[in-house]
Amino acid sequence: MSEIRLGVGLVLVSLFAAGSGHAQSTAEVRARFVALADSAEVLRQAVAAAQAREEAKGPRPDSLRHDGLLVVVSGTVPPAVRAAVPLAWNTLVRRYGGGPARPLPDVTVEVVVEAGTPVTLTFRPAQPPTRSGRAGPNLGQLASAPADTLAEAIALIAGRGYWEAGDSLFNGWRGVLDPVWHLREAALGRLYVELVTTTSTVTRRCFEGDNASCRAVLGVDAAPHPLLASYSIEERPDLVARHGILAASRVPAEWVSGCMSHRDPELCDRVLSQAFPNGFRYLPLGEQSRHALLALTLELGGAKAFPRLRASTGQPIGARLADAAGVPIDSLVSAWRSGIVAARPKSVAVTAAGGWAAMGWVTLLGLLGLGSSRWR
Amino acid sequence: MFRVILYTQWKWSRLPVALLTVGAFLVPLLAVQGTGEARGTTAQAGQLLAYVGAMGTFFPLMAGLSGLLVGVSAWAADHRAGHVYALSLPVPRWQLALFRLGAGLVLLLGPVLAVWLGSQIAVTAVEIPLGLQGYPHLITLRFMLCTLVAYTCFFAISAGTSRTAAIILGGLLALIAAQILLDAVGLDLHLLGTLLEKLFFWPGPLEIYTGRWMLIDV
Repeated sequence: MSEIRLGVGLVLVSLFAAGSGHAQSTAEVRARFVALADSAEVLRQAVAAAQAREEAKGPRPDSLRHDGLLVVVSGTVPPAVRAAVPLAWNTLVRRYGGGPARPLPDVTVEVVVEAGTPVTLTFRPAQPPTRSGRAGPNLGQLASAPADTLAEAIALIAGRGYWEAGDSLFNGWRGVLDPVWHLREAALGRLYVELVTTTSTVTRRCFEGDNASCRAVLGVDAAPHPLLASYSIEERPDLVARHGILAASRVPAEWVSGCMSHRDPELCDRVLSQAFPNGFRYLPLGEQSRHALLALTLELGGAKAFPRLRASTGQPIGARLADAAGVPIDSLVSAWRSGIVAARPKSVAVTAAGGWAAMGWVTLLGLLGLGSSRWR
Repeated sequence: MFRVILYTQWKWSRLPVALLTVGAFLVPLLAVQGTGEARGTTAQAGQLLAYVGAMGTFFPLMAGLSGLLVGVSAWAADHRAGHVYALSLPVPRWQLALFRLGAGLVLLLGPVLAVWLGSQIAVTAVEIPLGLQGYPHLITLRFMLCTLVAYTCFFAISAGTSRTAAIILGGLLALIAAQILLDAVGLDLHLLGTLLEKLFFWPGPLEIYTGRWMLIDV
């Protein structure tokens, strides 16, 4: 910053010199003006150099720790984030079953503060999950969010580490996104739309209240293959056709063409079973539906639900979830379905705010029309 | 006096109002007419929603057109005749304008009621899949609000002098020219974008037009 001081000094000296004393000749005035311009240039260069050095340093990371949760923040820690960290840790303990006897492993979350208007906070795990290799979900602009929302975001990102440590069957079933995020009302509303607009007959039966169909489309039953339970015989050739290239790369091409062209049920079943060993990914309902079921399981099962879920390897998914939730699988699935039906999105035809705003404009424009001066 | 004004306004604009009423009645029917195989087959709810959503764009178009035609026609005859009739009436200017405004509102009841009736018939005629439902009242309410916004806007413009209209039009053209100029010199100023944002986002006057127009929805 010494250059800045020097520059300011030069400019001040030049200004005083320019304003002092006697009448000046044109040449003197020109010389002083040139000197002043030179000083200003020195000042500009000094400021630019100082700014470049500041930018080169980058934002200074700060960190907040609360028990096992470390939140590394780039730049200045927003007050809301500071308030959110203890809340986030409490959420983690409650959700993943930490306690004095069995403390949760330490987790680190990174919060990137991006300057601008509005200030943007990007949450991500300190290290990307190893299994999927993907970075954490960017939860968007949360700078103006209240502390509990920020706490939820931090807990969601931090919780990914716990989920990633699960067994392969369970990880394959649940997919790659953070499950608990989908407990939210809007996500359940999207699931409602998915349930209603599905072309799958089994999913439709689930929506109509058939628990066995719900278990099938969620892939929680101990079926020989989840796709055979969740797609009707008529729908299976279309499923194979949708993923025909992938299927043909894994099983003999004549099986695939026989299924697609002749709609041979036996060939279709063979293709589905052998070409899609992890069939969960191709279930009629997306993985968000399973995330909602997981979130509900944790909610019903309380603090012990997650440890129970993690410990029950080797059992079918449905049995594990029921054990973790502490209720029979049919009750769990039924509650899942009821939650989605209850979250039916409201019609967006007219909002109260939009309606009142329109009425305000109608009144204003009407008054303008009355007050116009066509023949005054 | 109001009845006289209403009668004259009806005489001036009965043809457009009649056409608008018929059009407004048809819009909801068109919104479900082509749902084809989706009718009654619960597995095709997504297809029905997509079709209804696509055809829903005719609702705001019809609302805007209704407001435009009735709003402009409220003053068209006066403009043509040099306001002789209006000046001969024993009422102050504001009262005449109020009557004209009210008469236009009454005339707009035709298209609004037609949308309501058409929507009722449309949602009754289609077997709505489980999980979806019809919104004839809400869509009519929204149509009415859009029509009123368009009507009062064009009514206010028409009620003014040609100079006022020229100022508004000139202002818009100047804005477009300024935006072109700013883009040409590489300045990162989005005047048009800002204007559209103010118009189409809450609490802008055209916010009510935006979003999906779903006669049938979840």
